[in-house]
Amino acid sequence: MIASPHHAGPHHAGITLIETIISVLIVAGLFVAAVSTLGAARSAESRTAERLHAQALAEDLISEILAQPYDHPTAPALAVADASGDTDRLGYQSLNDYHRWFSSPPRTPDGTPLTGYDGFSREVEITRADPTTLASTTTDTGVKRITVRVRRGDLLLAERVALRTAAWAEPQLSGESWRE
Amino acid sequence: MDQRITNHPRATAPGATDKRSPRSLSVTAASSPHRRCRGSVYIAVLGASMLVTLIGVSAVMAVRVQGREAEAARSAAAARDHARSAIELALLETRTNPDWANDGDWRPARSIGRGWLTYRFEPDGAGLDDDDATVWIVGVGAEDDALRVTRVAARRRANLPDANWVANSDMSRGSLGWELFYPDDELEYTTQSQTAGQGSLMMRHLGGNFVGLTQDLETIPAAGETFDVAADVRLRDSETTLVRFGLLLTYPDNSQQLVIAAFNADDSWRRLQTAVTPLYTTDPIRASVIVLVIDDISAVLVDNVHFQPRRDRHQLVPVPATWRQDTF
Repeated sequence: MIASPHHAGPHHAGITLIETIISVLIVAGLFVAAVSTLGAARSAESRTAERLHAQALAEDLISEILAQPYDHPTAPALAVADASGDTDRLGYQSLNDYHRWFSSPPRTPDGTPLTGYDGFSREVEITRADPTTLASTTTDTGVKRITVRVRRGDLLLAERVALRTAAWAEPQLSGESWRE
Repeated sequence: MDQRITNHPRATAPGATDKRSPRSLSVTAASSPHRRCRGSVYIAVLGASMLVTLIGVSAVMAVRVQGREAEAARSAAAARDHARSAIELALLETRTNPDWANDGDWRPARSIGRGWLTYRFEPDGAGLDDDDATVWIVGVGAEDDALRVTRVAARRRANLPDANWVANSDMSRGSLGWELFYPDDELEYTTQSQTAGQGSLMMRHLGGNFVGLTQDLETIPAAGETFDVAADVRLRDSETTLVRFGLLLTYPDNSQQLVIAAFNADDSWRRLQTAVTPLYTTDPIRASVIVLVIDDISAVLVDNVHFQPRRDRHQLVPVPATWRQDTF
């Protein structure tokens, strides 16, 4: 049997230009979409990593603050303290000392800037709180709320909130031991 | 393309003559050549599309998983903070509410951050109202889908051993650590036996007022906190007078505040005790416990001076190394 190329007709021979173009366009479109998606994914991954770093920074600072005593609210420290101008936290002895602490980039207690955190900032707010509602109050109720925020630029990446009460006392820290 | 056309001129070896009739030539193709070409392209395009889509979707899914993990870690940490804060609120309640032991139910949940917290007191065997029993404080914190439970054992502060802030309180080392309130007065150490057989410290009066002993405290008492002060006091001779003792606070401007109580003393040993509550509004730089007599008497004997934070029986204190955190 003779199968002449003419039997298929010229319009059936090989891949037409139109088909090629359509195929290329489809693949190109998908490729662009994929690259765009990968870029977005990469960006989201970067933001997730930033948030993890920010959470670690917040954890670090709030742990440091929770190691401090409550101090007494009638002392004027809370009302007038503004730690935003401080460069280190070595002399801090109570929660009040941390009120309005701010540093950018984040710093260790001795004031050394943490490397790899350019653009990050940490801030602390200490407020009195009502023990029943935990709402802010201006009077002493024996409760202070500690808020640590970590930002990159103006973007809030992490926020931690904890309470410290006047009743808190680590027995081992106050020199007390247990009678057996 | 695997099309094989045997009558194509280029299929014949160079110089060779093809003796076969053109009509006898056969064209062999593995299948329909053109459809196969077109199908292959479609399959290639489809495969590439699926591959690219798969890569994109996988990346998105991976990022979503990472994001959820990060958010779950954040929520868990926040819930843990809330649970620990609940423990602090429970300890505060034992200080401010003497009847806390009458209620073993969960306290009303309170909003904090993006979550909430609550707590309760659980007896460890005996009832909550048993002063000698251990009590478990259970704090619960939640944020988003994370829930954390923290518990710590606590005992009543009254069960803690004495923590006397006064050094050489029983005068077993003579006058070490003690000094006269007015240095010009004369201080004598006497070996007169106390009930327990220990020595005491005698202040002999030489004519002035405010004869007394004082000792600087290494720890500055916290304002607003109540302290118990006690001392064994007697007059050497058969007299009766007022003995005052308490706390003397000195401020940065050298002003002083006396938180003091007065008791009658005579020639028999008496255990005098009271409570003082400093209510200053600025931080003192020095705190001294003092025992004074103002009246003109010959000599006062002092022993077993005690100064310590008040230990209300209802106030709980956490037991070290009993923190437990349950995770879900």
